[in-house]
Amino acid sequence: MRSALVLVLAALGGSPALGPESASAAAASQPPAGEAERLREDMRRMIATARDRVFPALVHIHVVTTMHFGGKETKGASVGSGTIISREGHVITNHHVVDSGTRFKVTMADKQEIDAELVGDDPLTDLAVLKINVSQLKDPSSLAVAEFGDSDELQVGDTVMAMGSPFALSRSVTLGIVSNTERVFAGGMGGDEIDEFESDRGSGIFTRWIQHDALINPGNSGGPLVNLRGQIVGVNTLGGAGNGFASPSNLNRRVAEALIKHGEVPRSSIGISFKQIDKTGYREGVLVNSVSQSPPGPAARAGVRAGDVITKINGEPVTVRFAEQIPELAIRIAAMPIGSTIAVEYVREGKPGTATITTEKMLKDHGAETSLRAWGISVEAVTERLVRELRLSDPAGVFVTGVRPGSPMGLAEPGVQGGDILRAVGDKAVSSIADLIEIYKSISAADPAPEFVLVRFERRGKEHVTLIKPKPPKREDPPREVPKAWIGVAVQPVLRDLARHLGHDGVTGFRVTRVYPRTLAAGSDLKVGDLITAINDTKVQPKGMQDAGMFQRTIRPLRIEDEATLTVLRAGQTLQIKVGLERTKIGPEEARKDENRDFEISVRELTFFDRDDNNWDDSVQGVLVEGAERAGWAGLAGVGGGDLLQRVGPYEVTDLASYRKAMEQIAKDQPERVVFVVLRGTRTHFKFAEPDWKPVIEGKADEKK
Amino acid sequence: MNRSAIAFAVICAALSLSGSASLGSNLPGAGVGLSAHDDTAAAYQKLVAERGAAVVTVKFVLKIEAGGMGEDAEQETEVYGVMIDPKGLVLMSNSELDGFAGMMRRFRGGSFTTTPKDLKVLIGDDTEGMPGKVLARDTELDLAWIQIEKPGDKPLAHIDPAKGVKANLGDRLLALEKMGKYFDRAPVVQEVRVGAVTSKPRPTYVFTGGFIAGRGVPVFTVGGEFVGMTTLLVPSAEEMEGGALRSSMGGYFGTSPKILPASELVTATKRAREAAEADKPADKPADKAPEKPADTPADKSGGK
Repeated sequence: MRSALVLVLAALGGSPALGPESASAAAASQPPAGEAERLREDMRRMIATARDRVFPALVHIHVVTTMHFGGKETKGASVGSGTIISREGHVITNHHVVDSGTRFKVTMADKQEIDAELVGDDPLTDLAVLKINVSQLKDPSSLAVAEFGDSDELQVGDTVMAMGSPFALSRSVTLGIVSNTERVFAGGMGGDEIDEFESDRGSGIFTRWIQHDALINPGNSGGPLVNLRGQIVGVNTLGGAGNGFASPSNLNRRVAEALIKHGEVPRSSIGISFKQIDKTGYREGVLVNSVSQSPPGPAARAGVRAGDVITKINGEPVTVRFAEQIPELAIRIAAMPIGSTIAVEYVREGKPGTATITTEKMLKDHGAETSLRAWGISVEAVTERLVRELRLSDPAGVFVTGVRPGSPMGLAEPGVQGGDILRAVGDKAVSSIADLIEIYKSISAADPAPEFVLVRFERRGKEHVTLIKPKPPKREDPPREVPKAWIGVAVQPVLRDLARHLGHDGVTGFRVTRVYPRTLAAGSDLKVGDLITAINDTKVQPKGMQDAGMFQRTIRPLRIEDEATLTVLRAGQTLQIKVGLERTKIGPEEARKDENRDFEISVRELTFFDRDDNNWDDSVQGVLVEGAERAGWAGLAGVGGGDLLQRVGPYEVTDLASYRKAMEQIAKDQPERVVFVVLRGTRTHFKFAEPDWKPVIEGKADEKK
Repeated sequence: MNRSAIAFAVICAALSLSGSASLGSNLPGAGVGLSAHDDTAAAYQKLVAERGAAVVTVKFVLKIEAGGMGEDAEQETEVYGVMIDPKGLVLMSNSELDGFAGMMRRFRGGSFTTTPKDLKVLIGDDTEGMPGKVLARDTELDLAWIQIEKPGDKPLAHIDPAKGVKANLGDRLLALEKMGKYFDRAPVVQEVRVGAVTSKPRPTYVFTGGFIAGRGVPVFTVGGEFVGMTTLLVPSAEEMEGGALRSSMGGYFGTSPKILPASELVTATKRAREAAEADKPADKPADKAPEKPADTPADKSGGK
């Protein structure tokens, strides 16, 4: 197979390995022209066949993520690839593609966009399974499914293809060969030793990677590595600089089956962190680097201590000389049925010893998380790891990960801080995130809202109490400037030399650079080019550029709605021009705003200068979009800063008041699809949002133990 | 680095310098050439006794939005204010209401906005504060007006700017500041002299011989008559580009707080009151739900 590939490349003239001195030898070894063509055709057919077996099952995955920190949730988006592996619509992909995902959409081979849900994910192998909603398919019976191949059969040099959506370009194929079938990252991604790993942070520690050189890029993650038989032999996970790394299909299959059956991959744990024995002076065995103590893990309860060198496990000798060998040992223990008994022999300070360890289920290190926006905190479930790290005497409660300054929790005296453990709110104990959410909803819905709520929390072993003042969020507009007199022109200072050059005999003043349309100045006799030298007999003659503000400063104290008489030099003549004074125009920082949490879009009223900048006359109405969060519903629909929002759903938007009414009505109606009609420059755009109308509080699915 | 950035950095340095320098000037007789007469002590005591109650603390949360749906930040802060009428109108420095972020926007541009909220006015040793709202602001003069929402029936201690007096070059002036809450917001008297009287770009008193660190600080004659309030008057971005502060002459005077005379405060307050009155929303009938136009082909949204 490989020789055929080389020959094909030679026939195509693409063999860079051949230098000029071997060209004549190469020419002599090339097959006749007809055979080269046949080889090319065979290769093309093999690739096409393999491709066609998997391509129809290849999907593009779009994920809306929600992260919780600093007292609020933040949306984001990620993309990746996946492959359909069952008739029920299960899709295998990477954990890091779906991590923190709250909404999943899959684009099928025929471009249908289908909703999907997360079945389960396994950070330790960086794999995940989604399930598409097959009822949304046009023809569920025609669902294409790819099959797994046997990754143990792979050899270095085998031809493989990487399929996926690099750079979010859908459905690409690259070709390469297997470079290594047993690549190990001993410290997880990028580390060089394993001290302790976190069970729910992607590490790759449990994987022996297939290294290959089929080009993969961001977006290929989760896509299949395919052999020439059209079978999945791996899931592409890492790549760059010409190297790709896929987790092997035999592992993919086992993990997928466990995720589909249990929603997780149950693993055994004994509470030991291992270390290689090089530099210890020992020739055999593996060093116990640490044992879980708070609370005591299985190994600690069995009497194993840090510093012991384990020499046998269940009667079999074990030796770990290099860090790369640790994952194999970790996998071996993790794969044992939960509750298994392990007999270990060890050496402690030169003396032999034995212990019997009963494995228990490996628990997640990080639990569910959520944010309580009105109170300004983000929290996480208290897990065994937290109990151990913080040396908590009581695991009940939730862990505060962040507090927003200025929020009720931040302003409490004393204030709640990140790192605190919430124990009770009001008169209710908090033992889980679910408890806290219920309490939060109940207090938020109370009418009237309580003025104070007592909060009990623990900080570094000390119990504290404080009062928070929960209050419903109130719309606050930025305060308005005191309006002052204004003339509808823009000016530039004209200093002595410039004045002389313009023929004004060295008389300085302010030159009109623009007469704003639809102003009183536009109705006067003022023209661009006029040099204003006095306002109502007050001279305005700048000495330098530091006086650039003199013109406006002289106008501002005058009475609005009066007239000002401007002394103007024009074409050698001195004119007295009367101009009506108007109110200063509102700037963007004063414009009334609105933030909509459902669609995560911020708008403000249109100002005079917005109209002038965009050449919009008074007939153009709407509200200006200041910004839309990238993965919010409006952002996902394509609404962006600078757009003039003119219609939302069926409701016309003429100003901020009509916009607010429209959004309130839409929040009541909760339609499946909402159209935003925006003016962008001179063009109208229709943007379609599909909100799912979930409440603002979102946490991960059940706290899994 | 452009000119605006340089000027901005100069101002920040000057403000922090003035803040730290004020510690030194609190030492008795430090650098002011003070008279050792008994009337100085009496003047300080009289000022605190008669005017102290009118110097209030304005506490608020400043919301900073980084344009659109960008990261919000909120910070709680306390600044000076002066009660200027018995029904709870407080005058303060607008740049203090805007915070550092507002200053940055002024010099650097940018789409972020600053919105003060949860305003409370603390009078005397009150720790709760009386809720207030911003009535108006004047960025050009660095003034903002806060109206206490429920001032009560009892007239509040105040200073009437209309009864203010002019100051002349060389006059001794006393500024009435407050310590921070760690020191229970105790009043502090700073003594300075009028080192300059400007007319351009606007009338101000430039003080010398001492440091008044804060903005929104009321300033009095030795006899206790109101002269004005410290504000930060800086050139516009356009004027900064034109090198308004680019001069080795005058040093930090260009960027330090200056005293805006009482007469300017009277005119500005009158204008602010008129604007607030004009902006009051008229009574409107109850809002109706928005009217739906006839369906168009693009509108396929339906109820769930």
